[in-house]
Amino acid sequence: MITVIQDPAILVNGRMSKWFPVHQPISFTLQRRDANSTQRYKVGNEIHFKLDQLPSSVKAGQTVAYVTPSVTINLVVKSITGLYLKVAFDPYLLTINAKGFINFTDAFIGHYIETKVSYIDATLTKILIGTVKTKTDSFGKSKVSVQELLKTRCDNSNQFLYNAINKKQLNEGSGFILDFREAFNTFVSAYVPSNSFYFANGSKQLQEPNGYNMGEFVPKLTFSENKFLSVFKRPTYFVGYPFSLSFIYSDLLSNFQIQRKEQTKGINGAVIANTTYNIFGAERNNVNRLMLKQSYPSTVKTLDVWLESSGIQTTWNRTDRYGGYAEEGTFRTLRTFDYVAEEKRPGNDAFFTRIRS
Amino acid sequence: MRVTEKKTIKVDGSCKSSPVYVSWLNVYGGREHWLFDKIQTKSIVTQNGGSYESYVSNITTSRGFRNEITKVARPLLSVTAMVDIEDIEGLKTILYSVNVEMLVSQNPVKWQTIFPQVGSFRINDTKQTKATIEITFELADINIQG
Repeated sequence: MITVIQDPAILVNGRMSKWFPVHQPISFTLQRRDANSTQRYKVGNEIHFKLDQLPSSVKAGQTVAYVTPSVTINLVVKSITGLYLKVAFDPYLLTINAKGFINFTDAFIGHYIETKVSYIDATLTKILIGTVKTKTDSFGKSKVSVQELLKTRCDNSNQFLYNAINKKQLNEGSGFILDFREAFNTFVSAYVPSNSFYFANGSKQLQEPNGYNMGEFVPKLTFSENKFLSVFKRPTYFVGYPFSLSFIYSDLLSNFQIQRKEQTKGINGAVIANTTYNIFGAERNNVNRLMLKQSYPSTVKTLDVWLESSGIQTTWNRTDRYGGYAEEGTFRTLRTFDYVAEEKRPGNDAFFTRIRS
Repeated sequence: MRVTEKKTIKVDGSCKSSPVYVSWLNVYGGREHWLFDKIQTKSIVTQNGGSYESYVSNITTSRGFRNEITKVARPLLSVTAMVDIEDIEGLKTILYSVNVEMLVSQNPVKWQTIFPQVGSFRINDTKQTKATIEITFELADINIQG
């Protein structure tokens, strides 16, 4: 069984930001867990593990790895009875005060994890870019970095035609989905899809907030100072020339009609006009360009522009699907590793370590 | 409910002489725009692509010995902008952008890729409130016989 124990999404201002700069590491940590240990105790001069599954390929004499969060111990199987795996007595095994699981390192020959990397195209279809095969370490962990594959989807040129209030730019970033599976011996598991994540054709600078995550540029309803993708403090609109502001139309705005608000001001800062226009919701989940209203009277010297949620629920909430896989909320990979509690066997004799629950 | 910062945009509607409008990709993956005007310097860098000497049987009627195989010609365009320091902070990012494009047609919008010359640049002192930035772009090479 494969579990995603760490993904690069982080909480920013109370919302999960799943947007990453594609020119920096986008790494997922996976863990292989062949069988959970539900009980562990001493019988005579043996330690018995009760497992939730014990395949027939596991034989006496093979080495298995007992993995806990802090230590991995290689054990030689003495014998097997049903779901009980028996090894030689080692007092150290009973001092481990943590829950663990067992990986059949000898029995599962040639074990590897395969990760399919797919992006979301203009028609919201999931399209395969490539696959990454990885081996796991002694803790059963494996790190998969997918940025090199995603980078192939980016094109640096300016593809915007400056003919819409907002338009997604697929060459500047898009969504991606990973599918994981494991293989060993002759067995190949089914693919398990991840949530959708997103990438932008950018990179973050040293000591900027949120590390390898675009968090501060991801608009969310819980925070009103999310940034546009501009390095100018105050960009200049040259009248008559094509102008746009880049922004991330994030997955966190999915359920609401988003509006472009403009407030034009005169030479002394006095407000001239306020305008509100709905932007196209179908362009969401991508890096977008936002155009200004333009055709201002000559008295307008500056203007403030921002995006606002109208608060009106839209009908396109979570109905679109990516090649059969749903958006956030309907499928979720495990974020924290879920160790199954080991229990004391009723009527067990003598020496027994209490397992933290 | 506001979901982004309030971005102040300066509106520049003044008449421009010799305008050169560029857009470039910034490090965050966004696109920036700027209009250079007033003074531009055009120059060209040429290189010899090799030559050969031909056999001349009759020197009295010959046009010469040397013939050129090809040439390389790369037009350069230097633009300057005298702007506030806050604009310099944005404008200087053009020097390390991986994609800079120059507007060649408005309707439909059409761009041509240009290349800021690399090197080290002195941009401004911290005391200044305005500064001049000069950028030299290499334009597309001219296609020549050969």
